[in-house]
Amino acid sequence: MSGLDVITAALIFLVVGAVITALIARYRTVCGYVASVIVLIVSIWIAMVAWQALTRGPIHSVYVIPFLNIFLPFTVDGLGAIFLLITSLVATCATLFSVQYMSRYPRYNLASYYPLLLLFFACVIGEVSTHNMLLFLVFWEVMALTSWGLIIFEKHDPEVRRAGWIYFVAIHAATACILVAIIILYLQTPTKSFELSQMRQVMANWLVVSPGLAHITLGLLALGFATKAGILPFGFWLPHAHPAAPSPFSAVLSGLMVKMGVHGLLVTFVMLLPLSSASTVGGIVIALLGTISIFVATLTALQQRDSKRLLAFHTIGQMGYIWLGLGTGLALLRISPALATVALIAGLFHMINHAAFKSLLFLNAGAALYRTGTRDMDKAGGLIRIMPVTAITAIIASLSIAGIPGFNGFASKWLIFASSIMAGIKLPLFVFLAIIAIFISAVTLASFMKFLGMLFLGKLHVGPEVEHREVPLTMTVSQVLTAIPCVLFGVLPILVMKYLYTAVSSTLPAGFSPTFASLFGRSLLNATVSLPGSSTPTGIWGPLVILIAFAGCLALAYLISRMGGAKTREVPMWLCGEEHSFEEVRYPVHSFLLPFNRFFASLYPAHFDTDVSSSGHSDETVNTKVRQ
Amino acid sequence: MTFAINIGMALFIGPLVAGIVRKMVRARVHSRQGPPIIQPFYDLFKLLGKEDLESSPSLLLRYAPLVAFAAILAAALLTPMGLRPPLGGYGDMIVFAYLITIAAVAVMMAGLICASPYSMVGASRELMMHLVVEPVLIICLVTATIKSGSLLMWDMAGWNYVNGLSISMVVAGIALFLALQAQVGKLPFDIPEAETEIMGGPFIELSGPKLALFQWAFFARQIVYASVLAAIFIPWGIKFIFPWNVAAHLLKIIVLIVLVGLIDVVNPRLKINQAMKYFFGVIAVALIAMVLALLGL
Amino acid sequence: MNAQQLGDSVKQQFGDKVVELSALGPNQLCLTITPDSLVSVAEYLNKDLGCRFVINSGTDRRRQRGKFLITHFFAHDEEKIYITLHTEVGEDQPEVDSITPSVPAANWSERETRDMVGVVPVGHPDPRRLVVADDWPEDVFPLRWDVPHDLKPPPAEGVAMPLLDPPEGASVVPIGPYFPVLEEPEYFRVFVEGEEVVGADYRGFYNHRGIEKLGSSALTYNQVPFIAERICGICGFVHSCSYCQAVERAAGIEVPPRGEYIRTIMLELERIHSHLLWLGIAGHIIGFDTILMQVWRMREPLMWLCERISGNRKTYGMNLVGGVRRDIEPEIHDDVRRVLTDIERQWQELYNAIPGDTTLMARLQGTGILPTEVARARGAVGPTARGSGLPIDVRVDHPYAAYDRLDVKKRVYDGCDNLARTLVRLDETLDSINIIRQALREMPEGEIMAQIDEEIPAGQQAVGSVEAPRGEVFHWVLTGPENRPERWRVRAPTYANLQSVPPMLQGDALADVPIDIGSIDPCFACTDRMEVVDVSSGQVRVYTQDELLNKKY
Repeated sequence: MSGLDVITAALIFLVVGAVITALIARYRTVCGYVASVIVLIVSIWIAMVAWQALTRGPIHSVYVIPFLNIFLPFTVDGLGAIFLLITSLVATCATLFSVQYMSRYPRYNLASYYPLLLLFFACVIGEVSTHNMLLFLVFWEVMALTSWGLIIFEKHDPEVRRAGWIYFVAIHAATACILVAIIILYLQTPTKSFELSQMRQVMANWLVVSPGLAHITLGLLALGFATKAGILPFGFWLPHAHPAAPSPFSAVLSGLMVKMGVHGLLVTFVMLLPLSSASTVGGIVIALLGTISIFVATLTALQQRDSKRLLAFHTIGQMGYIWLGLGTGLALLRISPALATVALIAGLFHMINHAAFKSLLFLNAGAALYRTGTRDMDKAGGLIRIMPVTAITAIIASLSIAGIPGFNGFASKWLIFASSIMAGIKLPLFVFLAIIAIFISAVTLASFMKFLGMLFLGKLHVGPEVEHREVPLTMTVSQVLTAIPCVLFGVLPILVMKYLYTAVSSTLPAGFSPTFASLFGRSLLNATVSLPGSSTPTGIWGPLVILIAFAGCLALAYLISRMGGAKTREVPMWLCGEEHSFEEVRYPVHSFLLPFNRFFASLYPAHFDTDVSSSGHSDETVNTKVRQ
Repeated sequence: MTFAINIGMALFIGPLVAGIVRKMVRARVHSRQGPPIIQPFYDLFKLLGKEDLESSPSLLLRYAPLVAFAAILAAALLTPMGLRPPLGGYGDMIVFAYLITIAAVAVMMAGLICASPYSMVGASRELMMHLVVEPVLIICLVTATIKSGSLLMWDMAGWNYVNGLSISMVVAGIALFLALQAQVGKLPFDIPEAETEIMGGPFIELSGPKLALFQWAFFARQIVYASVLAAIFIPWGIKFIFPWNVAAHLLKIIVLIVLVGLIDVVNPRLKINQAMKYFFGVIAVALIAMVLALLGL
Repeated sequence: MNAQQLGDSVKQQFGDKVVELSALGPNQLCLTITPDSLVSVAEYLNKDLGCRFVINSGTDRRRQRGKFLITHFFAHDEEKIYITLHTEVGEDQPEVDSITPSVPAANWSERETRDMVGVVPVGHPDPRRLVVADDWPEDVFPLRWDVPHDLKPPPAEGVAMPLLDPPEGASVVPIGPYFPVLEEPEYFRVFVEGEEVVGADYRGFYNHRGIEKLGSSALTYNQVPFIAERICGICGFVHSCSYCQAVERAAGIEVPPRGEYIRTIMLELERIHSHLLWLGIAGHIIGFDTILMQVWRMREPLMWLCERISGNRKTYGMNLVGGVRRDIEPEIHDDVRRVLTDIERQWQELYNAIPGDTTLMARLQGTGILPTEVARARGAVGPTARGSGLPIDVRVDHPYAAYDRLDVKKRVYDGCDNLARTLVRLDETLDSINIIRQALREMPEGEIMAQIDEEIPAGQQAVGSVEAPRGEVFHWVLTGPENRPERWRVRAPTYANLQSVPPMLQGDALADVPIDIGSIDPCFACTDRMEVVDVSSGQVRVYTQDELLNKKY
């Protein structure tokens, strides 16, 4: 194919957009709208490309840069298509959200924001659309640099600069690992090629002749991608970097950038690594790392009272779920193809969902920050009374991440739990991982009860300077847009699973996975998991029927509650008869789960959470304040 | 018809059994006459007609009791109560566990929205109790999954009935019974409500129909939890012909709830950290059951 | 060492700072000292001689001497001596040095004296008002003679007593004034972080009744016992008994031995009923309603018995100055024995069951810690003190009624926690049963009431104290003209014990707060000596003499 191909067109459009926004950065709002329009057009464009790749099979194209004679080979496969779809959603919403949000930073020049943002999206698109590892590395590095530039946007804040350096060092260590691995592979290819297919042959050869080298290479790649994905213990940079960035870019970081690590991991273990015992071992390691991340990060998140830090820790935790799903899938590839397919779909499904709800959460936190000027959940609360749209989308997002049935997080977690429990019958380790994951899922719920309860529900509690108004329209629109998939995929998970099945089965050897119908049934209502050899389905989740039944019960409950014709009357809160100001009786954030946290305090490394703002007070100060 | 049986069990047997426990167990141990057996119904109906006092008017607070009530009823539709559950073909045990969680979340929501110090403490306790009690249910059900190879509760019960009791299932049943006390919010684990400490916790600001719905939901919750234990871990009677299978189930859950009532009446309330410590023990028991199941016992 | 010797040693130490010294019998010492030596004498008594601070009192003697009389009471428990330390301050400068910095137990009572009489304790670490209502005028001091007992200052809006703010990061959980386990209105402002209590403040005296004022302005000697008995609804007899003893000692009246035995029996019956009542409430507080129901069922025959003896289930109305009004006739003796045997048997079952109940122990053991030193410093009394290893019991230390002839054991536990306080009360219940049995056996025949022919002379003073179920009840009477006391000072045990609650709460869980408060068996009515509130109109009114006489309770 010659001429301008689909991906190159999108990339060039974004690069041109970057130049334009750099030129007009002085007109702050206009610049934002221009960037939004560009991103919107590109998003629609790449979404269409992805759709085509999913429905009609991979799209291959090579672009030759004029005069330089450089070949840029692009391949949009099923897997890449999934990532392109995520990109289009997150990019659109985050850019739109930025338009008004960036007015928070009158001191800073937006020339260091929008152009970098557009270039960043270009890198993401390029990276997931190529099978050429050289091109991949170039995009990877530019992505690292642009994201670094965006994280240190508030460069006058020493805290932000520090976070920026941590990120810079961590991400380049990751790049170094990947670079070394790719160079080793490149040197071994007979034709000195960066093509993935060639490297796969090298890998296949190594597994027979020098498994040590194969494992070292795999390890280096996995290390690099784990660092990027924020998986513990390599993701230590994440809780620093994500809160430091401007909120819309925090959303992009959590919704999109960490997913690049997942993409790399899948490229490594599914496309690069032929089916072998190494994939089982790799799968177990990945699932273990994932579970560690789930456990440590989510429990640490419980202690946070900085809203964005809390979300950042949950990003690590939720990435852990994704890794658990993918790890289960990889480990089972040689044992049970059917269950492996289910688990891989589960992991990817959760990744999509995470992109939606976590971006949304960061946008919510950003909106709260925009309005109240604080990230400390003790200093602001009850925002539902002034920001109903933000609050309701925050509730949707929180219920999604907590895995409440009917929201998307449940559908994917359900698949992850079901597949890892069933995997446990073959590999007992996975049952324990599943139990930890289910338990932590409840902890996630707890944490988001706190987030919701403190920041959005309850009595209004904000500083005197805060306007009692919803955030501007662009911000509400982008929040609502991101909330749509949270609900839609929750109600109709089978639609998404269908395309994920296409993506997964296309990357696996032909005929490897059972047909979609035999795995998940034909019904659109039910997501069933049927494993070969069992007459009845193993697990069932029929969101529509259950939700209709739930709605029926809700109606019954409503009827019962109206039965007595009770009148409503407003009364003051009961505080045992003495007068109290709301400030003094307001139960502070860190109090909420203190006994539980104390219980778990010994289980996670205390130094992991370096600057806990909430770690209480020395007993001394308390004692002196108590009378007598 | 199974719809009617499950909903009826949850809605009407729940308060009735509570009334039986109050009159026959609690009052007797107290050397009291006790209220009439159908007193819980009188209470519910009276509350439904009483004024609804709101200290922090909020739509969410208005819906929290409805959601709790609906979630428990929906969970009841997934629970085997002598017969194949009516919605058993649309949700497995993970769905069930999460539906039950929704009810707990609704309670916490109510507490958080009221924002009274007592309701906040109550919500926080509810949350912590949920965090330590729910894993027991999950682990026990996973044990049954490992044995039966299915995530569907009716299939677990059927497998257990056909294959007879195994050590792992018995241990899991014991662990689940130890958790039942907290799941139905009875002493020594009625910590989130703790009338003499935080005056009802999450419910302190609720009155009238809101309180009635929460109470009714909790009566139903007793039946749902007891049914899981009775159907899956004590599979006696599930293959009887109708209506004897339902009758057998009813008998089992009444016995379970009366036992719970007995424990309730001879214990003071524990503190939240003591309760957590206790439940880590129960979780350990449940894990032993699971390991036994993995070993094929 | 008797009172005279003790007085001599003080005199030796302080020389002419001691203005006047007199011993009222071997057990009561009256000292009058110069105002400038107050702190050093108090410190000497408290630190060097180990005397326990009881209470202080302010008397308006401007009519007689143009001065305010400030009296600090100490008790030397080992030597069985009460010490009355008088200081006079001029009306032009109503100030006295505060002894609270060196004797912390004086904290509340010095503030109360300031509120009621207007003598300012200079150097007091916590100068907030204590007992008067939030809107009470700053310049009206109710116990001054020129303030009428039925004064009704206009109510004011928007005034509140300044209370402590929670420490950074903590929030307030209000326990009270209206709270399910507090039977009376008191406000504990508990600061929590998570479930942990990191501090507390207290506001009480919501229902101050002005009983002391009535006793010295509207009632006669023999009317006071009836209002004294109404200070408390649970242990009223101890108050009337204590008051009568003070007047009897001041006037030199000898109570006939049978009267003393009857008082003893009633006091012990009251102790049994009160301890059982407490046990039931404690059970209810920790959610163990079975204990509440069973213990109160056990207690019911006792209430019946009291009705059989006195005509009332509670508030027996049996005490008068000089003796008691009702005899315990021989035909009642069998009833008493039968009820006691019944209670003893059931009590034994309960007592055996408690150590085996792990959940119960988990709630009581190690919670509400009140270290011995803190208990001593804050002047704790009764089971609260004995549970913290302080061996003080008025029945043994300052014997009254017939206790010097009976076998009384001090029950002391050094667990310092809620369990220790519980065990003290459990043991004492059985002891009381035995004391009553012994008293019934040994009770002599004879009169129950002394013949009083002469008028009680004015200007006499004496202390009367009783070991109530909650601890030492302390009354002091300064006799006056018009057949009534010039000053009648009441110190209920809860007044002393409540000051020990904040350190108990520190570091405990929020769930422990109610049982911690409950463990001192608080009786706020005693502490408040409150005003009567007419519920229907919401008006606070103090009953007049006629109304009190005609009112049927």
